[in-house]
Amino acid sequence: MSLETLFQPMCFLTAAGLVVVGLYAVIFMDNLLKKIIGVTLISDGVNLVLITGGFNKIVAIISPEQAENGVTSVIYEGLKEYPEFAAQAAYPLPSALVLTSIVISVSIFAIMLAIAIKLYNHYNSMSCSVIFKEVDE
Amino acid sequence: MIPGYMLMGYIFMFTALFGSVLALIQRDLMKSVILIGLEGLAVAFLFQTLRAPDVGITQAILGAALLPGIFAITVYKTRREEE
Repeated sequence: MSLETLFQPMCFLTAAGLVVVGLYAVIFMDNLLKKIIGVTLISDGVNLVLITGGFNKIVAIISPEQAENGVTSVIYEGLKEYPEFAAQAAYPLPSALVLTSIVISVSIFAIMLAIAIKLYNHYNSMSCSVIFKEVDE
Repeated sequence: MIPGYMLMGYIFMFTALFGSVLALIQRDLMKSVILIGLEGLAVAFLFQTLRAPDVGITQAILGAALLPGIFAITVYKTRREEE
């Protein structure tokens, strides 16, 4: 187990750590802005999981017998002529999907922050305990 | 011998985790917003080392520049200290 083989599991662990820290912020922090910061951390963690799953994956989606015969991918037949490239290339589907996810998440955060400003103007506080107490009364 | 981009990747993983924890323990919300920009930048460089450069560029623009900008506007419109 060298640092080179541990790179992908460490990326997964980083993503898990980001999701855990974000969940802690969403559940236990009192300030409304820090709750929204927690949601951004969860979003970053989930994007990182998807991208890390596609790292070096063109070789991994074929069987070992095919790898011994020199086949690098079932889908991408042309890659047989470039085995070194196929051993290093990433799977392209997650990066194409996460690109959309990042753009959508930024617009969602803009809406969340606009609603937070409206809440501050109405209740004159950013603390969740104060806002919920006034809602209950 | 470990390649250079993997060493950079380990540094960026540490930066992302440490920056996210530091952003949540600040009392001053503007410091928290700047640290969330640092975390987004670290995740952008991590995408680059994971061989997804298009996602890295988009994350560097949106997650490290635009998102802290609108967070800073929110802090400017509301109060700066956490009560």
